[in-house]
This record gives sequence, structure tokens and C-alpha cells, in this order.
Amino acid sequence: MNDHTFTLEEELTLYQVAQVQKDLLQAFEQGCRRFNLGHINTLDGAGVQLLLALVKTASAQEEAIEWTEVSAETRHVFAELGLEPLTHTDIPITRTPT
Amino acid sequence: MSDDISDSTLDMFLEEAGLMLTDFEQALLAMASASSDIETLNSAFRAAHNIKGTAGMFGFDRVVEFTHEVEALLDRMRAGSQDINETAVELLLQCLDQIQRLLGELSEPEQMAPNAERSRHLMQQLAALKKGGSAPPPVAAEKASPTVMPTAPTQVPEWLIWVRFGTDTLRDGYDPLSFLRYLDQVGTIQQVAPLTDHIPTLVELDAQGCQMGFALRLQSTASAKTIRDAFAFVADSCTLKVVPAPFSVATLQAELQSIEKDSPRVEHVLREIGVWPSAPNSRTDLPPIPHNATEDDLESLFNSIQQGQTPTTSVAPPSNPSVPQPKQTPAAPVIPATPPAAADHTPTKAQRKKPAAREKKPEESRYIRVPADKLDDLISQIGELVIAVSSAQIVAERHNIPEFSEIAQRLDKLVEGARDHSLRLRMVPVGETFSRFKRIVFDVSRTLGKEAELIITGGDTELDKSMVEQLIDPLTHLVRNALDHGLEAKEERLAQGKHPCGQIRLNAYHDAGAFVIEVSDDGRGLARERILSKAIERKLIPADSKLADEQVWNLVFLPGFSTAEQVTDLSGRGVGMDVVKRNIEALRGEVNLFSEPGAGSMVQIRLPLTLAIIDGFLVEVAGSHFVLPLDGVEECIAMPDLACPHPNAANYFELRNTVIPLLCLRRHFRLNAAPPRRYSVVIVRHGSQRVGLLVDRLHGEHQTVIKPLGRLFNRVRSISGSTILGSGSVALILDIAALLADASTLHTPTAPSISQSNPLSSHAE
Repeated sequence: MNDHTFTLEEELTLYQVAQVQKDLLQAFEQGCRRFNLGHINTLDGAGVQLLLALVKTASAQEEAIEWTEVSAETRHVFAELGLEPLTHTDIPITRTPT
Repeated sequence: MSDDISDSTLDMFLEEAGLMLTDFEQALLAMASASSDIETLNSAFRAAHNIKGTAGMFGFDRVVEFTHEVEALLDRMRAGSQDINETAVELLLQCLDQIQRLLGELSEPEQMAPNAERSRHLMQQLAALKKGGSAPPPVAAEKASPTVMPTAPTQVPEWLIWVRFGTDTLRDGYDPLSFLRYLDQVGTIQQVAPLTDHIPTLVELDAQGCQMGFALRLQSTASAKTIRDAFAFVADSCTLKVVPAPFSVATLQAELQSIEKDSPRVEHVLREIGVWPSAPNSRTDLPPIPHNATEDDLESLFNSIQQGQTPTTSVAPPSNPSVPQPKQTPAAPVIPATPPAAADHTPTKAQRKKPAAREKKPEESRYIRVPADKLDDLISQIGELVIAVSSAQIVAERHNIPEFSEIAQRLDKLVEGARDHSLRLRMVPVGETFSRFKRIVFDVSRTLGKEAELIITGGDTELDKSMVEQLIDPLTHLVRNALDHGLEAKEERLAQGKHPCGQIRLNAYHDAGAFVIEVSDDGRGLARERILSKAIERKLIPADSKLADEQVWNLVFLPGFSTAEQVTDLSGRGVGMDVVKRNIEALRGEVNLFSEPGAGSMVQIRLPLTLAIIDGFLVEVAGSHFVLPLDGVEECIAMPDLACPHPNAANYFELRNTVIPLLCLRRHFRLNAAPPRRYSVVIVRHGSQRVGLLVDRLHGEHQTVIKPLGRLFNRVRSISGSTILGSGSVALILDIAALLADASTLHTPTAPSISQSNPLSSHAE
């Protein structure tokens, strides 16, 4: 694990997920476990799915990740999907809620 | 855009996109009306989504990017987080125009730069509207009760909705979140749980594929069908279960075991959303299904439930410690809600295997789109066939072979049927074309600051498609003219005791083998004195002219005529009405104007039903053959004692106490030949006028394939086309309207006039 924080950009939608997937994977493989969701202002189902895949990746490797910040839009969307447990910051996340 | 798209594919796409834009426009205009409902909004969303999806398939990235923003706004409206008001609808209509421009870039690449600027500007406006929209509704979780189940019984039915989306859902442009938001409009989401177990790790993830799903408890008075319809866009690809309360273990397992194999997980999710009962409450309640149950075990379990037995299972208990164990959540009682009457939730196994969405397919595939060229070729071939059969009949008659005559007659009937059917293929209801004028009325009335509504009647009336297309420009001008000059300003209308909202009416109907369109308004009507003085001022008529109202109204069709006090962007430049008349006449039609001061005006257009083949009535005059459109023929009378009237004689005769003008075709066309032993009179009608045509011989009904006349004959009056007879000779098709006009000029003033009723009173209601 390194101290690096990976910051996601403003939009995380179908149009960005393919590229962000590569970036996230690379960051994760380099030991990054802290992710900043504070800048996200547009998030759709594809974006949520990507974030859940990130959690799954950590879980599969018995690692924990954490969000340093979670934007209001992200909280809103997570809450809509019943993913409130994923809205906390600075708490290690080890698995997807369901 | 992809370079490898063939022209024909692209044409097909553009045509398809045009239809989608029409649907979109109609939905947006409906949204602007007071009677708008959720289905209208859905139609607009569906249209925008389809445009985006189809454009994406063809690589129109600029269209996709722009339409995505439009779709997002509509989605917010569906979710209730965006107000639907006039400002929003007007912006969406502007966006629609922009999509049309972006699609047009293919033929006008020089428009790319200005279009990009327009797109950017409109996207900014969309974003501003989004920011200024009403506050988003509370999210499901905020609204959900902290307890798993409501403690008090509720009368609002509850539903379990379990959905897993198809892999291509995201790629097809659908966002699972949209469905969730839409469901929150159909009812109130009580609790939701994501189905994340199919989502793999980052390495394995297909980021644009969808592996998500969700389960939720919805409180709604909507029917099962309405709830299912929320997923209509993805019905073919998603796995969906809609289960009404009361929720029993048996019901839940029976419903879900066919789509979910991981029973403990299912139970866990159901407990999370509060639909898993805590204790058996009926003899069919079942123990939890072991996670390692095989399909056979589940099948057996299912059969037991179907037979009302308490099943037993020999499957080993779960041994995998990694499988999440059900939480010991508080008891979840069976909800005492009455299941909606519309839903029958005891389907047979066979019924469950037949998704509702697939049942819609036969309905959707009832239509085949065929290029118009192919229909033209078919009709052309049928035309040749008509002539060939006619030749066969002549040969059969000439050689007097009964069997041959019989076959020729049968062939004639069959060809007649084929002709009618093939012509019908080209006939389209005019309603679709009429609908596009809603936008013109919407835009122009706003520009003019007037209130106006468009009332369409007779939209089902059919007309040859090629004619419909050629009618668009003249009708556009007439509608704009009615808005600009016909309707008064709001204050003026109120002062006259009229409703502030003016009416423009588009009406279509069939009349005596003709297609009639009327464009009317309830405005101020035409100003007779102003028209007359303007015509005199422009030396269009002598200063001492004494004209009937009808003649005065028709002065406005003269080139360059305009009485508009103020020239506007819309009309009043004195061009247009003459072009309208010319366009209609080019379609073998005629146009008339009726007006009543203070009550409004009406432009009536009469057109032949088709330009290809007609049922004709064949007559002979001095050895030449003529065809009259059969629909205009009223009756035939043999007149043995009547000689061809002398040019100076009265050109009329009396028929059953009615005086009818008489036109001698022999003299009219200056045909010289020995007179027949006796004449016949064919009474023809056009609108409310009748005339008797004096002919030498009647040949009877004749299928007539219309062949256009060469340019040389453009100035020949009374003849609208030609046809080839079975014998190979040519017959001329008579233009009844022109013949009537000629008869009127020959008509002596002493003859009683045939009154023409004012169509304003009969059709403008």
C-alpha cells in the first residue's frame, strides 16, 4: 500500500468508464488504496458499477480501500441504490454491501 | 461518422431519424398542452433515446453527445426532479431543431462550425435549466422506513421488484438508475438493495457491459402491467420479476427460483428490503433452499409448490462458510395488502417462461418499410398489365371466342383488384403531415404574440404519398397566413366577444372521388373592400368591376397581390398565394377561398386521389376517344332527337326540372366528322356543379393508366392527361373542372344558375 490518493474526475459515466477502469486498475496494482470521490458531479449506473468492481477487486485480494472524500452527487446516487454503507469516508471498505 | 457506411444505409438512417424526430416533436408539443401525461413524457424520452441510440450506431458522435444531454433532461423530468414547463418545452424544441441540423451536417459540412456553437449554447441552457430545476425528490433510502417492515397495515399495495439487467443495457444507452427513478414516480420505493454479486473485479469487468440489478419493495396502486411497463425498453434483455404482496416464502421462492440460483443470497436480499417473512404462515411455506441445491432439486421444489405439497429436500446443508448467512432481522410479517385486481400472480410455469415484452413483437412487426421506388415500379407494371388485359379483351371480342372472353374478363377483374391494392400501398393518412403543423402554430403564434390552437380533423383520410409531400409547402403557407393575417390579436378578439385563443382548423375528407383539404380560421375574415381597392390600384381589374364575393376572394391568388398593412417575416410579401395555387394546379387540383367577415376564412383544396391509375369512363367523339374520371360521372342519357346545339343556341337543357349546362365536345374540341345518328349526354359533377357533355358514343367503364402530357400541351385547357387503350390508340383524359369552367362561360345569362353552397357553413364546424 502506498500513500497515494487516486482522485476521480467530475464525470464518471458510461463515456468515461473504460478509461477510468484502466487507470483505477493501474493505481490499485501500484498499491493505491485511497480514492477521492469528492469531485464527482455526474455519476450514472456504469460509474457505480465501476466503483463496485473496485471494491470487489480489493475484497478478492482481502484488501481494504477507503474513500477520502465522497461528493454529494455520489452520496445521492449510492443512497438511491441502497449503497449507503459505501458513502462513508475514511472507513476501510472490504466488501460490497449485498 | 464511420466512413464505411453505404449511401443506402445512411439514407435509411436519415429517414428513420426523421421519423423519430417527428415523434419527438409531437411528444414535446403534447407536453406543452394541459392534457400532457406521463406517457407523453415517456414518448418524448423514448424518441430522444432512440435518436441517440441510432445515431450512435452510425457514428454520429456529435448527435449522440448533444442528444444525451437532451435525454438526461427528459430523464430528470421522468424522475420528477425537473419541472415540465413552457420554458423547458421550448428549449427542448430548440434542441430538436438542433438535432435536425446536426443530422444535416452530412449534406452541409460547412454548417459544422456554426452548429457546434449552437450545440454548445444549447447545452449551456440545458445545464442552466438543470441547475434551476426543482429540488430532486428525496432519495429512496431517505424515504424508507428505518424498520424493515411497516408496523401498521397499509392499504396501498406493495410489490417486490427483482430485476437483473442485460449485459448490453448500458451500451444500449439505458441507465439502471433511470428505471429506479422512474419507479419512484410509479409509486414509493420503500427499500432497495443492489444486486452486485455478478459484478466482477476490475480485471474482469466489461466496464460498458451491465452486470447490475436491484431488488426493491415498492408501494404503489399501479397495476402489475404498469410496473412491468417501466422496464419496457429493456424487456427483451432483462430478467424481471414483479411479485405482489402478501409475500410468503412459498410465493417468493416459487417466483425467484427460476431466475436466481443462489437461494441464501436471495433470502438475504429479501430480508434487507423487508419482504422475507420470519415464520412459516402456511402449509406451503418452505425451509430455506440450500445454496448447493441443483436445478433438479429446485425443479422438484417447484413442482411440490405447484401441487400444494410440503416439499422435502435431501440436499446437503450449506457448508461453505463464505456464503453470507441471513441476518437475524426482526420478524417481517406478511403485509396484509390486497393484491391489485389487475395482476394475476398465479401464472402457470409455461406462462412464466413467456416474457410479456416478447408478446408485443408480432404487433411491432406488422409493418414493413419499403422504398417508394419499388412501389412506383410495381404500380407502373400494374399499369402496363391493365393495358395488356384491355388488349386481350378487344381480341377476345373481335374473334368472338367465349372461353377467351371469359378468361379475359376474369383477368380484368383480377388486375383491377391488383391495381386497387397496389395503389392503396401508396396511400397514407394525412394526419401525420397535419401533425407537423402543430409546431408551426406553436412557434408562429408565439412569435406573433397571439394565442392559437390547431384543430385537426379527418387525419385518417388517405392520399397518395407523393401528393402529400407536395402539399406540405402550400399548406405551410396557408397555415402561416391564417395565423398572421387571419387571426386577430388577443385584445381584438376579446373586444369582439371571441375566445382569446384563435383556432386554425385543418380538415380532410373524400368527396366525389376527390381529396379535399380545408384550412380555416375563426379570425376576422377577408376585407372585401380592401381587396377590391388593392386590385384596382394595381390594375388587376377595371375600376368599375362588379365582382361576386367568390371572385373577389380569388383575387388574392393573383401573382404579387397582397393587402397586408405590415410586411412580416412570416407572410404579407405578396408572394405565396399564387404559388399555392400553382402548386395545387400542378397536382391536377384546384383551390378556392371562402370568407365571412368577422367569422373567418377557409381555403379549400380539391385534389385527385391518385396520380397513377383511375377508374375512367370512356366516350367517343368524332372518332376520338376521351376518358372522364368515373367518380365525376353521375349518369348518361341517350338523346336521339338532339342535334349538336348551334353556337348561338342556348347551351343548356332541362333534366327532371333542373336546368343543366350543356357542352358539345365535338364543337369544344373542333372535331370535324359526320354527326352520329344520335347523341348521348354524360352528366358530370365537380363539387356542387353539374354539366352535361354531349358525346357521340358511350364505351363504358375503363381502367385508365394516366400518362402525363408533354410540355407542348401545357396550355391546352380541359385535358389533364392521356392514356393508352387496349387497341393501342390514345385517349385523352378530360379535366372536368376546366370543362365546367368552360361551360359556365358559354352558359347564357337567362339560364338558372346552379347555386354553390358556402362550404364554410358545412365543413368549418
